[in-house]
Amino acid sequence: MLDVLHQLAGGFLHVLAPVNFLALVVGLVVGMLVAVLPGLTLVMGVVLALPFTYGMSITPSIILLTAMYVSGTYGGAITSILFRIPGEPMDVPLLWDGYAMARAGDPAQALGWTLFAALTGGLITATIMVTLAVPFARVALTFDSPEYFAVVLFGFTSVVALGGGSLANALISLFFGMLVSTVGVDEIYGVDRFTFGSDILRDGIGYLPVMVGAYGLGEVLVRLEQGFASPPLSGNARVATRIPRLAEAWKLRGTFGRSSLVGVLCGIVPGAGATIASFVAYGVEGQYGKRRRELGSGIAEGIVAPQVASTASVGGHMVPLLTLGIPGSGATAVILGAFLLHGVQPGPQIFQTQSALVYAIFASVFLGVIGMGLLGYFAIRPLIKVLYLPEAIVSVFVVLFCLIGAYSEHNNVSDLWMIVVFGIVGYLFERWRFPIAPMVLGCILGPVAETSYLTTMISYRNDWTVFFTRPVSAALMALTALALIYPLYRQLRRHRRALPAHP
Amino acid sequence: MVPRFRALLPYLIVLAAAAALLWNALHLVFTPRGDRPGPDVWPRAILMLIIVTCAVRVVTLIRKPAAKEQGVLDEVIAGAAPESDRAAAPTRTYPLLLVAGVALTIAYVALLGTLGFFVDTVLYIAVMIRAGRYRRWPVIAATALGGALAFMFVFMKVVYLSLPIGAAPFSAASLALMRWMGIR
Repeated sequence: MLDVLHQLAGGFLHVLAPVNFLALVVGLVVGMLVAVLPGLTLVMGVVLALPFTYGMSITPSIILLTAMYVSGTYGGAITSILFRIPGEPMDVPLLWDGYAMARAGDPAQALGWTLFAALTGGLITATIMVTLAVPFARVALTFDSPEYFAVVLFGFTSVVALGGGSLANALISLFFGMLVSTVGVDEIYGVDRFTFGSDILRDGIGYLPVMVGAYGLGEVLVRLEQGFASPPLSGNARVATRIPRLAEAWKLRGTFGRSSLVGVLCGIVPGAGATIASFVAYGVEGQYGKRRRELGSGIAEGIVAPQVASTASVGGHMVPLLTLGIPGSGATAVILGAFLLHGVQPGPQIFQTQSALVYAIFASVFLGVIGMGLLGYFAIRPLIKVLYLPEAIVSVFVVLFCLIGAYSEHNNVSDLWMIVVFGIVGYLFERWRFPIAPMVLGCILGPVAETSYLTTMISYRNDWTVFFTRPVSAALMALTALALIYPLYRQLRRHRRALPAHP
Repeated sequence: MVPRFRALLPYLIVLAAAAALLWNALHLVFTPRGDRPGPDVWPRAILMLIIVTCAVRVVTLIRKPAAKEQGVLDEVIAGAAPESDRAAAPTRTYPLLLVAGVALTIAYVALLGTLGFFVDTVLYIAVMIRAGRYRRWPVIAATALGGALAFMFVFMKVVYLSLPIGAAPFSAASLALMRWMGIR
């Protein structure tokens, strides 16, 4: 433990170096702007920032993206409470009590509770992240290729199973992403796969055009089809934040505890991101809170629960990302992409080979949470001014950032065509209700799954039972099966309930 | 009949594409190395899974056209939301705007090499903002010019990115601007 604290102290010093600190501040400001701006999502914002990290070294790159992720979980709360515009899906529960409290004449108190909740959730999750990461990494160090394959498979299935909409659509999206990752020249045999004689396809399809196209251009096309119809600003625009007194906050300690736990757990399980955490925490408050009957009428518990949980999910997500290289959400998939672009594969080894980087990331989460609090308190007035920017103008710049960002990776116009293709794919996915996150994860982790599967087959002489005879991989395979069976079981149960009762 | 076909359409498209790609994967030419799995094993497995998933979905939709699957996230949201928030308001759509947006973006990429980054970007910003139903031309013009210049300055002068300068006569404008900004 002392060693961890010692390294964490080194991490703080590392983050306070001018370049890293600048990346942290820029990340916090941009993350909050992205969360506030209409038509821009947190994941889209992190994707757009990714190309700017090409020229940076890895530490400020990851600090920048992580800071955006942290502050992005808070920025949308401001618009939810003041204008009834949820910046992100995770901010929807804040409409029920946050906006109600603001409308009842106390917007400063509502903003204060949100800020305090984000700060508390963030600090709790950062502490848990530092505590859990090293033991997780130690366990992960014992993993061989069957365990890695099982971990990736579990990551895939839980992302698929815990999303919204149809399970079949999520599976198709995942398989599509995995298939995209196979395009190009096979590394072992040197054989062309699905290239159809095209030089562009022979180089393979990187995950960057897939991510940038589907999340960036695809989302803009969806909004364009809706005529960029952002809801008009209405509600209380008086901006001030009144932080609750410690005695007031202490009365809500149960809510803070429950919601932090929900947030961290939802973060650790791949697929159950900030949105699920936020809604589950609100639901748990509705079940177990002291004032559960008053939820929805503008009480502090209804603001604290979702905000604590969504910010607490960030640290939870970082644990599997750093220790196993498994991203559990769209934003962490982009952060994984940044690691890979800089030639660093997250996993248990980086705790030994790049421990300074890991602890700098940990420290940046602590400092990011505090910076987010300061920014949210002092800069709220200029921040919400961006809400008045016309969405058509914001969107055209988003598209240009997508295109130039993709172009800057190889200085190659063919990457722009990939963006356009995956932008249209992203739009069609949205239109036909296929989730995009499984496709992106499939594209990033597909090669990892293929390599670990083939290595296992070669090492264990094509004996596929090895996945079920080694304890850890068997347990993960069982969890994978459970993750797939559970939604089917729920569907069956719902179907039975819907059947008319016999007379 | 039409709504049912519309619901089936995405799965039929994916099914057909997957079948064609599976045919391609089955005919990969390579020299096997002992009993090692070949380069076709992984894509074949993925394509088979796509085909099976699509087939199951198609059969389900044919048997129960109105079947709507709810994911865990949908259930969590429905369970937590107050009664008044459960019904989502229908959103009006503008398909022509979408077609215009896609066409403009394709044209932007296609003309980048000819018009050069500056001219192409000025035109794209202006027309795209107008397509997005924003009508204040002075703001559009200022945004297009200012935005293209800012992009050029940041990416060429600060990030040292080599953006396309275009073919003559458009390259003359790009080169003049580059000289003005001190970009070499």
